[in-house]
Amino acid sequence: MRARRSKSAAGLAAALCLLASASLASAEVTQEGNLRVSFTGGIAPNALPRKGKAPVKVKFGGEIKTTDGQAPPQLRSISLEINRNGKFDFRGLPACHYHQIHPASSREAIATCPDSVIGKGVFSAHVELPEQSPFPSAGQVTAFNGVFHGRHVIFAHVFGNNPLPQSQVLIFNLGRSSGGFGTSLTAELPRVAAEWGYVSGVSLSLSKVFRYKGERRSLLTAGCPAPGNADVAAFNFARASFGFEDGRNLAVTMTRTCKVKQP
Amino acid sequence: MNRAQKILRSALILVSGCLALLAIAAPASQAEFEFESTGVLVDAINGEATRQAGGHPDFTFDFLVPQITTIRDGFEVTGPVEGVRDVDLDLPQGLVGNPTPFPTCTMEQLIGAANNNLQTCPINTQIGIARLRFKGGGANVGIFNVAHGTDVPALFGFNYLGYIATITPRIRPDGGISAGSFEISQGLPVDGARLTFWGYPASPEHDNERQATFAEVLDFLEFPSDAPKVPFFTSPTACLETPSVFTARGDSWEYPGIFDTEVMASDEDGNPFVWEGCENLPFEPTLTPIPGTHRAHSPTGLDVNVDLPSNDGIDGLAASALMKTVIEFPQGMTVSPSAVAGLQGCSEDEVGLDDSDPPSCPSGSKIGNVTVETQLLKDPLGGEVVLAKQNENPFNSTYAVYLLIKGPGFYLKLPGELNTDKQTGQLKAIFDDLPQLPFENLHLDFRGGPTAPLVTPNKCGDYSIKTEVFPWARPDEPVVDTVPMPITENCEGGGEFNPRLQAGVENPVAGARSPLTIRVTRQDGEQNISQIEVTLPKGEIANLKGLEVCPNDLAPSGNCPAGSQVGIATTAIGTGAFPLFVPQPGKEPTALYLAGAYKGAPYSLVTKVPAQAGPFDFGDIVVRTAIDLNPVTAQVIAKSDPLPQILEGVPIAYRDVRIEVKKPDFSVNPTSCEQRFVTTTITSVDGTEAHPSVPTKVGDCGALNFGPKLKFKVNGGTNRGDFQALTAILTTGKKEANMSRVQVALPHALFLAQEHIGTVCTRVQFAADNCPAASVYGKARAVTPLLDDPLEGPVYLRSSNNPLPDLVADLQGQFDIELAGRIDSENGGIRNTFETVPDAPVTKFVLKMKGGKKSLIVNSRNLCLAPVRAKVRMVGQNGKRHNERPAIQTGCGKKAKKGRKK
Repeated sequence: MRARRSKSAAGLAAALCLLASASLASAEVTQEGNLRVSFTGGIAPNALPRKGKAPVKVKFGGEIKTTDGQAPPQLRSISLEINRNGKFDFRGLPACHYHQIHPASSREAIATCPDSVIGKGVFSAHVELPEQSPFPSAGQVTAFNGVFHGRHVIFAHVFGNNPLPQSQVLIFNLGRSSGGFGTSLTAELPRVAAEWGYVSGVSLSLSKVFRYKGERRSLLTAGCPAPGNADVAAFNFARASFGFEDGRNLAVTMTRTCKVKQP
Repeated sequence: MNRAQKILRSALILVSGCLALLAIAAPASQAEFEFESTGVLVDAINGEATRQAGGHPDFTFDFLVPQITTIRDGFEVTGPVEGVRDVDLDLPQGLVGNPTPFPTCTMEQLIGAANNNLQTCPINTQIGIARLRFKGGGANVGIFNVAHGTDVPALFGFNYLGYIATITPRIRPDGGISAGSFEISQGLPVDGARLTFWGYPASPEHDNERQATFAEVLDFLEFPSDAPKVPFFTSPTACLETPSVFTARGDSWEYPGIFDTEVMASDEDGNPFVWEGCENLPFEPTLTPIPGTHRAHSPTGLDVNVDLPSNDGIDGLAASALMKTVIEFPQGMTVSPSAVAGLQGCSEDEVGLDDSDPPSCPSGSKIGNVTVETQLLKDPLGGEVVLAKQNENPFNSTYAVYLLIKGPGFYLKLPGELNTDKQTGQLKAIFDDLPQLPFENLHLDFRGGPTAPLVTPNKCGDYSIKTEVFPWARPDEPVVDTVPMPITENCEGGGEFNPRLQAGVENPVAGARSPLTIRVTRQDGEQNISQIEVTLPKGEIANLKGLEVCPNDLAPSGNCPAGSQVGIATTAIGTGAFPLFVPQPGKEPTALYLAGAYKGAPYSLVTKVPAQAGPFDFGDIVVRTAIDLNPVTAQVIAKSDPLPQILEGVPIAYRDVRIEVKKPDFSVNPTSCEQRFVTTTITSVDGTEAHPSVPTKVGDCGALNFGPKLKFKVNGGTNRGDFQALTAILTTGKKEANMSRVQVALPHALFLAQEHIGTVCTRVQFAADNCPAASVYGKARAVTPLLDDPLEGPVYLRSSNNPLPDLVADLQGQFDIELAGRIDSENGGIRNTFETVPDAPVTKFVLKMKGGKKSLIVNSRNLCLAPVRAKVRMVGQNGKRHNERPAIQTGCGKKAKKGRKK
């Protein structure tokens, strides 16, 4: 098993050299019918220790389109499974409560729970009201370490001022995945502007370095799973899926590379 | 009768009276006068009966009176039972004598004072013979054509031993001729007489019947006549199935005025007076109607000439008399309303169709002149054409005329009907059942000028007038002709449509109550106006509070209660320089009433115009005008029904349509002094639209204040995330300008609860008044002093052209108003802007947005942490601004107050 794994890892090494320059925001595109989702994601820094783990920043996102210009269905769920080499460590991180940050502007939410902020991103939607010209609605996303109904969650606080001040909170539940994936983040999305809007894109980067009991800690840590003496490794960074109102579920597995960080 | 004649007549009577003393006195009568016998002969010159129509026979009338024998002074004396006083005979229509060509005998010659009272009339003046009968004998004397005055058409007479009898013909109302001898001297106790008028007085056949200056005719002596060789007597020219009748009447000196009447439909031999041979009668008329102008769409008079050549040769037959004429004018030639101003109608009583007396028609009924040239009379006859009273004429028709022809001693009155096509106005003039009197020319002259009775067609072209002339001889064989009527002038401009508009208020002061006038005029010759839609300027509105409204069951008739009257209307119609203005002086006034819902609009105007002009009354013209408001601007939109284009066959060419809204306190001026416009859509009969508009502007806006108050209150939890019900209350003061624009920015503490945007009403649904219930997010109420009740209605989110749906208050009541607010943000707060607020006074406006699950507002923080204030910017219609930062009333204060109380 080990030899087989080494062989395959060696075989991959050359091929993955081509991918060595892949950036944090490489994209994978998947399509079903007229619905196309471009998933982005990555990890930074790219150089990670072969053994042990180092603090990292993880980013993922998705852009939703249709190939025929129709309005895409409403995005109703987001699921992200992170490679098992990546570890979440929430210990010592203050948790924020839902009612503390919603409704509120980003600034107000951050001001309320400044130590719980674990990431940021953007959120875009289109609203198409009957007989109304579609208008984009963009928002700032702020991720908070949170507790919801006693469960440990990540709040993605969305605030937009255009066209009107409004806020939303997406609740990402934390779980365990099988196979090569470890932690999973899943969220159910409320309807945007009732039934009239659709999400056109969302992105979120998570990272947090903090001190706990005098120790410097990181929300996310990871190592580079390079086999043998290879300096580069390709790995399934994450598996992401978007579930839509009409039942379609588009998913991709994002493969990324890392370099072994020389000691 | 001139003075000399009167003296002469008196003398004759005196002489007759003396003779009576000498004569055999008539015995006392035992009964009223009766003819013993009467008879008529119409014979050819050979003495045989003839019934040739249009022929020239001898005509004989014969009568006998009863005789009685009495003893006087021992002698038997026989004489008439009663002394004959008057003998009168009605000739059938068409049987005419024409004395005009013949020489006349003077009355002096007839009396013959210088000849022992034996007549000295010239031989050629004799036109017949009278055979007088006495007991035991008789005498024949000549009947002479006697010179006469203008009071009679002719005069005949004879002289027997100084006894003078005259026979005076006259024209009956039906055009027939009657002739009578009246107040016959009692000195001549005749048993009877046989009077013969010759068909050809100059005929040698009568040479031995002529009376020279002797006492009587001596038949053994012949006296040729050099009179014109033309006929004197002519038979009717109609060959009817029913016989003609003669009617003789007579009375006595004993019973004057009590007449015995004998009707004779056949001659003494039993031959009925049924005329024949009409197919041989000539009839070559020309009927020439000639309009007075060749200009298009212009008032015009009319000349009508009827020429009817006669055949007066001795051997010929007379031309048929004229029975009927029809003049059919071309399409487009119509009655002119301009003609009727000041016109009057003549009633049947005033005309007196049943007599020959002078008519007493009002002078205002005259519309033309008539002249007739007839061979029966030396001088032409003159007369008038008068308008008959509407529906009070022999035809019970709207339009009719009378030809009132004045003759010597008579009036001939001929009614004629003027038919108009109710749809097109095409005219047809009909004179029917005309008297069988011969004439050579009849000329009608209808007045011209601006008030001429007719109007030429609107467009140039080769028109023609169709004429039909029917002879009595052959009624089913009319002579049909067409008379060219070229319209070649004033051709330009017929297709244009450039109506003009005038509009304004009497007192142009901002916010004042002032009468309003709208006036639409049209140039003569342009397309006619069919429909008028007027949009008043913003802010020019009406005060409906407490106003009586004409019920919808009365509105169609225009019989609205006086309380609903808001104004008057004036209309000018017609062609030419003097259109007819309605109402006319002395006629019923017009009225403009406010009525209820009509054609989807909440109100309507009822314009009632009594169609009365001159002698005509066509009832009321009622035009409804739907009155609606632009729901956004509250501009009054008045759209009339199609205006009537023709009334009783008279096209209504609108020249001036004027509406004056003058009920006190009804019309309200804007409170904006900007220049605004009265706009219109005026549609022509051909569908062309014109859009004249006029600027209007009121002044003194600076005198109006502007300081409305706006208060806010939220009703919901005070914590972050609590949803709010929002109430906004606007109040205004007196003598303030109306609101023009209001903008409210809510504080940042209040976010949009986007999750509650459940349903939006589409504009299509809104227009159809079919918004989903779920699209209702609140309600609104507006109180205005101009309406009886507040306007109330739901508040929707409605699709818009703005990024976000509009917040729309759908206010309903006496009018529907739609107040749309644009939603956007300002400094992180929700902002709503009512950009277009109607220029109408509102004393109070309340907007209540729902809370709970329908709330569109959610707290983004605890409202009690700090005061929350709205930012209000208001602009008055007069341009004045008023900004406020009112605190939004929350539950925080109450809790604190309650807490303190505890």
